[in-house]
Order: sequence, then C-alpha cells, then structure tokens
Amino acid sequence: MIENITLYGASKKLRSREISSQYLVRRCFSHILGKNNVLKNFSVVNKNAIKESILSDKRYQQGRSLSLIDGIPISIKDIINTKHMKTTAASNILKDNISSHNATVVNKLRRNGAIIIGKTNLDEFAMGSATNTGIWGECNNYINISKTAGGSSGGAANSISSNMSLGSLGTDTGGSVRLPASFCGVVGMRPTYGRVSRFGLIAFASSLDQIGIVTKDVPSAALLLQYISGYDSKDATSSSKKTDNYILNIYKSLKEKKIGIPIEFFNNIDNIVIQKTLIKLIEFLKYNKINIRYISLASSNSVIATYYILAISEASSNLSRFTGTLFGSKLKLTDNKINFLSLYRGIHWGMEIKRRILLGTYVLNSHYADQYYFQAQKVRKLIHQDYIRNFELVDLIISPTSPILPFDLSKKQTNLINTYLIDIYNVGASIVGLPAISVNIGDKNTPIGIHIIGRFFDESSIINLASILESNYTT
Amino acid sequence: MNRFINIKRIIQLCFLSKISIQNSERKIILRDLEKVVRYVSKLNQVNTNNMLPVLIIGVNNIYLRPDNFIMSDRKFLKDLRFSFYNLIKIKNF
Repeated sequence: MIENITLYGASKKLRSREISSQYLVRRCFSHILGKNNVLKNFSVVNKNAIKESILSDKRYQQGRSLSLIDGIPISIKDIINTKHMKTTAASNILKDNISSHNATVVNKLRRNGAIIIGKTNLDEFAMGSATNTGIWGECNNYINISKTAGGSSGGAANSISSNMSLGSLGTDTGGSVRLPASFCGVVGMRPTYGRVSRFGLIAFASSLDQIGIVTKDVPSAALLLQYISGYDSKDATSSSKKTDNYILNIYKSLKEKKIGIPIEFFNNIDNIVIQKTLIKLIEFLKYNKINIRYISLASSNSVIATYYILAISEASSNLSRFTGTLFGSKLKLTDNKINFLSLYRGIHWGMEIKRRILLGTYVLNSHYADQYYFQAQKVRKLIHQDYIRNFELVDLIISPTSPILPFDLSKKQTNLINTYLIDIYNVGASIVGLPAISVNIGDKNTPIGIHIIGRFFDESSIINLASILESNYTT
Repeated sequence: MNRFINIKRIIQLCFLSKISIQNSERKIILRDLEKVVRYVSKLNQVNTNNMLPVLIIGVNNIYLRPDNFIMSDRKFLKDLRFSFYNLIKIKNF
C-alpha cells in the first residue's frame, strides 16, 4: 500500500519509475497539513521541497540519479543545523536562529539527492523524555493521541509513524531516538559513537550525543545509515573505521551468533505486557535455534545516576555559550552586563534547562566534583568494562527498550527520578558508546520496542537481528 | 537531605550559572535538586578503588589515559592528542 510505503520500498519504486519524488513529497505535505496541528511533529517545513523533488525526478528521467536515496523526503530534528531553515532546538533562546552552515549529515543527504522536508519537534535542547518541554508544543502519539510520543526525538518518530516523512534524523544522548521509536512503533537506531559525524549538531552532552536514525523498517534504517556514516575531519571524535555494507548484511544467518539477556533487566520488568512479550521473544529465539545466554550487567544499577551526572555537567558547560551575543535572539547590552545576561538567560530558558544547568553547576563545583563528577567518570569506566566483559561471551545483548508503555499525556510525570528511569535500558549503550537499535515487536495498537546492543562499530549485527525479528516474529 | 542544599545555595548556583530564576521557581528547583542529589549520591557506594577515570581536564591538572579511552581508534586518539597539545599551548601550562 502506497500510504504506508517505507524508505527502502520508495527507493525501489523510484528506481523502477513506479512513483515520482514529487508524488512522495506532496503525500508527505498533505499529511503534515492535515495532522500537524494535532500531532505537532514539525516546527518548520522546507518551502523548496517540491522544487527539489522536481529536479530529482528529472535526474531519474535522464538516468543519472545521485544515489538510492535520491528524491526521498527526509525530516531532520530541529537541533541539527540547516543553512536555509531555522534551527531552534525548541528553545526561545534560538527562536530566530538560522545557522551559517549545514551539519555534515545534512550535506551528505543533500549531496545524495534526498529532500529535506522539514525540521521535527523535540524537547528543549533535547532534554526530556516526552517531547513536552519545547516551544513547539507537546507531541501527541499518532497511534493514540492521548499518549506521549516519547522524547526527545518525539517529532522524528511520530513523523515516521504518521507518514509525514519516510526517514528522519534524530539525536540520541541517553535514548532519545530509541525511546520515541519504541513508543511510536517504528525503528530507531543509535550508531557507535564516532560512526556518524556530529558536526553541526547543537551539543547537549558532547561525550554522549550521537545522531541517530528513525525509519519505518530495518532495511530503511540500514540504507539511511549507509549514506550518513563515515569519517569527517570537522568532528574530532569521528572515526576513520571503514563502514560496512549494511544492506548486504541484513539477511545473514544468526546461527553463529550468541545473544545475551541481562538477568538484571529481565527481573526488573513490572509491566506484565512487556514481560510476556519478552518471554515470547525468548521462546521465538530458542525455536529458531539461536544461541541464548543469560548474562549479568552488574553495573546496570548505576547507569542512570552516572548518566545524569555526566549529562548535566556537560550540558551546563555546553549551554554557557548561549549568551545572547552570538546565536539566536540578540541581547541589547546595558550598563550591568552580568545582571542583564542572567535575566536574558532566565527569561529565554525553560524550567527543565534551568534545572539541569543548576544541577550541572552544583556537581562540577570544586567542593563536590570529587564526590560526583569524578566519581561518575570512574563508574563510567566500570560500566564500560562490564559491557566489554560481556561482549567476550556474547555477540549481542537484548532487552526491552523501555520498562513502561507510552504513558498518558494527562498524567504528567511529576516524580523526576521516575522520568529518568524510563531510559534505564538505553543509557548503558550511550555511556559506553555502543551501537543500539529499537525495533517494534508489538501489535498495531500496543507498540513494544526490543532493544539490541552490539559491539563497537558492529552495526551490521544489530541490523541483522532487528531485521529477523521484524520479518519473522509474530505476536 | 543534604544539609548544604538550601535557598542560599540555589541563589549562589544561579549567580555562577548566570541564570535568573523567579521566587516560585526557586522552591521547585530546591525540591528537585534535593531529590536528584540524593539519588545520584548512591554512586559513592560504588567501589572505584584503583579505577582511573576516562578523561578529566581540571583547572590545574590534566589526567589523560589513552589506554582508558572508550574508543581504541588510532585516528581519534591522534586527534585528541593534537587537541591536548593545543590546550596546553593555549592555557600556557
């Protein structure tokens, strides 16, 4: 059905000339016009998208298409810089910000002919788990509009499930791509730290941030990853390791692979639906003669605390650059510069940002740095060793993506710690820098994400298992 | 409760972070800060003896342990070493 076409399917149909790029872009725009007021997935749309799609169609007619993603409408999270569209990070402080440059990933997509259809909604500066702290409003889940779409890349994941774009780039600091993908019933992938350039991404926590992918199915995620990964001299943490052919690896056999299930994750699931799904999944893997091994990730009790100390410390440092002189809304200086600067930042920032900056300043304070920040860095090393030790025993680690199902928007998460704990299965991979993917194995109305973590730079294996689950597992 | 967290501390943190907050926000932030600090304090129970952190750049000292790095990518380490030397030059250590 053309309505639910995937990125991978659209690529095939464009090449066989069954559909045109202009048709795809117009379809996406009609969904945006019809549903964005309610869902609030997009902050900005690209007015030149139709013109660009006409050019792409001409390229196909002349037999000189640029790549397999030429003419495909793709959305970008509104925290990744684009030259001709606003990049607001869903914050008042950057409300009118137009970047002077494109992010490397945006340049790569454009060079390959993809059509940037618009910018997607997020939590302010990507800090949140429900896409409800930004200036573009609260994102409602397309599957059930009374539920949250998750966050912080809620707009990206929801834009895919509601057919507003075929592929989307989000950012993942502590699960911001995988959690919304799980809540919206789509695929969300975080590549290895360094696999995809972060140049042009507005930093939240530099040692944890990574650009991720959201698509409707696993082959589409593999295809998109193929075009955005690779070394970039503009990003000092970018890796020069050669990228695999992800598409070729999708349908490999998993008989040789060992899959680890952390007992700590398995024992701590309170939600009956998720627990039953996980038991069924294990039966499915055993039935298909895939090697399963129960492992122990003893450090999993410390991951949330470690993640929050590191993330808020880095956020507090990264956000100090927003002084009202270089980016976004400009500050008119008065005689008392410091007071005015405080007032300006106080007015323009939301509560969540202020909370995290103040907490960051607290844990970095020289009196407490040993107790919190340095200790968190040491525990990070312990978590790293724990994962490395387990990856000597198994090839992949699986768990649910989230311990809960999408919660009601009316039920605001008042307990801060409970909000943080939503990401408990995701932050381990973020802290260590490992690749991970969330794939939906739930039914149409109750999406349940399964989280697969792989070894460093082994995106092929996580794509491989995710693809097998997607095509063979039935609820 | 951490006895060092009070409204006076919040005002001090606001000054250091160059953020103004309203009186009503102060109480919420104080409550949240207490909760989060209590939660993250449990990290101190983790035994990290003989454990060297990944990377720490302090004001007067730099601990750099390339073998401790998350990544073992040569190019990454080379770039990092370059940044490290530049940092020394800039800071005039």
